[in-house]
Amino acid sequence: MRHWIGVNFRCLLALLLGAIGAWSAPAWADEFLAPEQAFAFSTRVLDTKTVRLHWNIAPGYHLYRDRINVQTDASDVKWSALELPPAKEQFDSNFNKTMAVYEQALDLDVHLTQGSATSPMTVTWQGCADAGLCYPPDSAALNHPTGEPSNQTLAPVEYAQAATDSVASALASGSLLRTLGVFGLAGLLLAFTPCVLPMVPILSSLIAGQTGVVSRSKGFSLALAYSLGMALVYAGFGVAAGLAGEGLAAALQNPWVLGGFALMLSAMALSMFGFYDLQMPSAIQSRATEWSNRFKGGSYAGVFLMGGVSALVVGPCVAAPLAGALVYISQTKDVVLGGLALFAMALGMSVPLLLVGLSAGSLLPRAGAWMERVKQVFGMMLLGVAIWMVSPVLPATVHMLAWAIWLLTGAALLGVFGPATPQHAHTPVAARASGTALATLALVLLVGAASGGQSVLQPLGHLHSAQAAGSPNAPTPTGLKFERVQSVQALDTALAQAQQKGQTVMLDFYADWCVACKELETFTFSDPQVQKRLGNVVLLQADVTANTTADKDLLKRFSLFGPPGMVFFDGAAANRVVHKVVGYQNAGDFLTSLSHAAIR
Amino acid sequence: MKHLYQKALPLVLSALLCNSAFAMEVGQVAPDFELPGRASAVKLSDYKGKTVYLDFWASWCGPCKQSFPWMNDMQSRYGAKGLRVVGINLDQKSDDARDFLKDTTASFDVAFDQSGKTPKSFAIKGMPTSVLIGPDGRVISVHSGFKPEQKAELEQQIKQALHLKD
Repeated sequence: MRHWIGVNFRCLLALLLGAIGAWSAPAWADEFLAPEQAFAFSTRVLDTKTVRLHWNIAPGYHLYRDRINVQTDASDVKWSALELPPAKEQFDSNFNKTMAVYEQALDLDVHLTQGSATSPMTVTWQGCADAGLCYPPDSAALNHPTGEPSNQTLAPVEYAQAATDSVASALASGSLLRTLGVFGLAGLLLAFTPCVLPMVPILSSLIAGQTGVVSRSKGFSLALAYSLGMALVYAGFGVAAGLAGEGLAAALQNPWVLGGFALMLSAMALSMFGFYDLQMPSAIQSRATEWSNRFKGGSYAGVFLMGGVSALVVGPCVAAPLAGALVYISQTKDVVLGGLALFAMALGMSVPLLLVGLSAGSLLPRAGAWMERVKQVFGMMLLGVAIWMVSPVLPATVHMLAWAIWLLTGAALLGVFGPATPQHAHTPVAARASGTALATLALVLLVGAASGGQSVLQPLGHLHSAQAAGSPNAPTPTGLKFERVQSVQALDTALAQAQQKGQTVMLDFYADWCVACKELETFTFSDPQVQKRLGNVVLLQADVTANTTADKDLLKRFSLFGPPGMVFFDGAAANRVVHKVVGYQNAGDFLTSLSHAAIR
Repeated sequence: MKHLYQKALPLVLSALLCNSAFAMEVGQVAPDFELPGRASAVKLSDYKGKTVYLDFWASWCGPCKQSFPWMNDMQSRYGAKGLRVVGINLDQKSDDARDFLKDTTASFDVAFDQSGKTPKSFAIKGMPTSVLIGPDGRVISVHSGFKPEQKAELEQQIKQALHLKD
């Protein structure tokens, strides 16, 4: 389930981000495209005597006509004078002269008079961004494989890559609209997580609590008022996060904070199971109603306030995005942008609520047997979230027991253990079957916990590995051997040593409470292919469990807000970060990341 | 749930961060260099204790030329407060740079890097790029490109680095 969400989340995000990527605008301010993206160069052999050079010029960038050159070292290769197409005349006040520039795209055919289209040649070019950055002269060698002329593009542009990077530059460019758009979309994705679910019954009760028939427009505007209240509180969170500094992310990992959030979620879950009704104390509620009824449209004010309160209640759910916004704000030092970004995110999260409002009744859960079912599902989700939250600070056995109980609860709700109430006497076969499956899973977990297992995801794994260890032929499972670094100084020393040997370095951030770090160890680092690829890499690990000042400095240096995070350093210039991985990756994804980090 | 964020949010975050991953990291020690200058050699570690505004430029680069009067201004205004503007020229032919300096005044230290080693070690993308380095030798900020409307912001950063009040 978790993995399922993870995967789909990723796909959706990639799609959405890709969509934004297509909406590119000129480069601006601090972030410029990499030279190969600003001027994507490719060649094509048209026939034995002709090579077509092609530049794809990004919007907001230009190439200088006078600085395009074709050269060769070979004496037996000659071509007729280059016929550069007419260029745009642009006055450059810096040099006080008119420059001929190309924008968008340029095709240049080289007609050979001696030698063939596959002869070795070098093309050089130079260009600038309109926003005030000039790239150093760039060049490419035309080393076509000798033989038949091919119609193949030799230096294909990696479109997917370019799209992702343009999103990155969109975000980093500080373009307000685009940043807000991305956060809004992120919010929309969050809307499909259990975080927003508790708000649905709260909102529906608010709308249902209105006197008279609720029209579609009234329902929608009430939902909108509610969402705005929620969004404003989130915006406040964003600003507070920015002002509080980077300590917040660490503070949110405190066992007491996590425990408190989990308790709150459990309380909400119990109310879903019908143990009690979750509502504001009646004194406050009647006061609020009284107050809001005093002026026209007062019900909106009440609903608006309730939205704000709900945001506080489900606040823990957005702790992680807050941490994200925090890093962003601390980088841009722009509190306003941070606040607006979270506001946009909350609006994205509100979309399902708005739909509930718009349906004004037809989608609203009404009392009845099926409504009980829906609430039970919500309750199960909330309980699951609660267990997830505290899992980093729970001992493995307790963690496994918690999940076993969760599964058994699910099974019980599905009626496996006999009819709970008379009207459920005829439990459908499907429900019974899935209930039994849940109960079986719970049993496996219980057996695992009882026999000393340490992993929820592989509860019986220890039995298997114990067996394997017992047999002499089985290879002993070995993880990666990391060298511990405890401070920035220790890291610098280790990096300097690696640089002398020309070795690439991977620095892994780890903490005992970090579930994803453990998953990385269990699933990713144990993969033989991963181990093989990392064979020649210096492996450093920073254990930031204690969250000391030295730990924080290390995280800060790489703009990470917590583990897991892997930073890769260039073998030639050890101070240079070539790639970063944030969060869990399975072996396949991790291998791709290694390729990005040029570890082959 | 937390976990879900750990998976999904990093995507957003890495999108936010990955551009900077390839550039100079703020807070890291600026790699030292020693290059020929106009009179004597220019060595970064000699500036320890000073706040350095390191600027990469080339003679054929329009925005670089545009930034020169402003850099002169910064040097004269904040030199007494501990600022040193250092321009690293990246022309492959240093004659081009010397011709350029005949027409364009540079009242700050200039170093010549024909081999292009320093832009590599500082991982810069293009010119002009400026790296603001604190008295402790650590990078405070990096800025690529130059536009006149960015002058105020850049000056603000310099003032902050020098701990000057408005």
